[in-house]
Amino acid sequence: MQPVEFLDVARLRAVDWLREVEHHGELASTNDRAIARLRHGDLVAPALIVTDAQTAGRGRGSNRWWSSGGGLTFTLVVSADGDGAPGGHRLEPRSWPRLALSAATAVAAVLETRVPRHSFGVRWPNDVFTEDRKISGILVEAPVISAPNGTDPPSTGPAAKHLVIGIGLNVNNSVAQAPEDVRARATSMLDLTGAPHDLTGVLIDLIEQVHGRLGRLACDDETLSAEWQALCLLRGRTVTLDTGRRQIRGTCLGIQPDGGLAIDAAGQTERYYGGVLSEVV
Amino acid sequence: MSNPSAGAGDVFDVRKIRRLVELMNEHELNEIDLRQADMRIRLRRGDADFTGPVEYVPARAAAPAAPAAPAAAAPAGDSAASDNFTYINSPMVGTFYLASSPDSAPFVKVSDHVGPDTIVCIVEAMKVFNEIPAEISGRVVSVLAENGEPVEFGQPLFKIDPKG
Repeated sequence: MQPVEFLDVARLRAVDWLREVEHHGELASTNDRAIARLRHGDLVAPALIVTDAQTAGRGRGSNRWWSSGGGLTFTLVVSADGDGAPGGHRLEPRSWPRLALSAATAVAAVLETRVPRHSFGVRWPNDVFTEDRKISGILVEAPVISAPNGTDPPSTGPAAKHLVIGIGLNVNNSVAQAPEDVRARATSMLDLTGAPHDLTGVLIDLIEQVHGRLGRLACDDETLSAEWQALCLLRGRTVTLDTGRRQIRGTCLGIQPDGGLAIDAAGQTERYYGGVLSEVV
Repeated sequence: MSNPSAGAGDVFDVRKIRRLVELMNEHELNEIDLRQADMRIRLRRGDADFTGPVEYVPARAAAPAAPAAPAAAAPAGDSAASDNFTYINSPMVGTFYLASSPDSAPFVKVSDHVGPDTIVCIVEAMKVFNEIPAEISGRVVSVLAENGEPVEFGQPLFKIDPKG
């Protein structure tokens, strides 16, 4: 019997809708591994790639996801057109910008259940926080995989056929062991409850919650957008959004049903779909 | 600008800068942004908040007399008939990235040949990183958007010479 702190791959393989589970002791990046397998043409979605320790997890730009033993770093690969997979969902490209947000609400749902007495929220568009400390980050990629021999060239619009959903969640990796800058702005499930969590159980809950939300996203379920509107951490706060071209300072009006962030700046309300958001304290 | 064999340092030649300024005035250009190897020159005039597309001059090719003029003003697609170039446009609102990570080489460079399934860039929308295929064949004439900058739906990202 495995201690609960370690992953039990047999339990993961028992998840009936997953066609493949790939487990590594250490890996640079589960998203990179997933994309490499897709390019090689031998990964069958839905698939889970998970590692005990990730050495080069990516965030926005040059950000890195800090990862050590006891945390969860994994990638769920799904087919964008469902591909007849059990419970597969056809996700139109217009829904893709809401994937990270949907996954963030899934993480928050698992945390609300497993870490009672704490509240969790989403910092638009993809991070999950509690008490001003980050506990989870998400990065979704839509890679274009060339068909063999130049057949089936990409059509118009986003041409990805698979969606690569990478999630990092601090579970049993206490930030007490982390570098000082991480300690000041991050936390883990262990730090919040004082006891280790069933790592495999948390992972299974997470992928089930994400999988369920993909189905709801596919059919424009309004209760899904209601979730991210309710979880928006910065609503009503003064924020700045750096779009790379200009800085917008104003009052955050919350995450909108289409996933965009509404900011009221000097009486003008605009909706944004990119940029780096920070709170003015 | 007419000497393709000029060394990289020549891009900063004062006479050329003067000529560029003349060209900007002559053609009412708001901005010129030139890169050659690891050197860059960027000239702006008028409204500092100008946010039109920026064109990079190919380092190897013989540059035309007014390098930044046509593409900076041309709407996507419409100019194909007049200059025989075509454009790769952004399929979505998002942030434009030339490489998969800050440490990686760009997907494509000026003068590279691309095919329909060549990945030319990433457009990120709300933490979803979308690889964008060229969807056409040809040679990259110029990059029309800045790395890390926001792009709009339909905005031209690359100028392509389909006969290149």
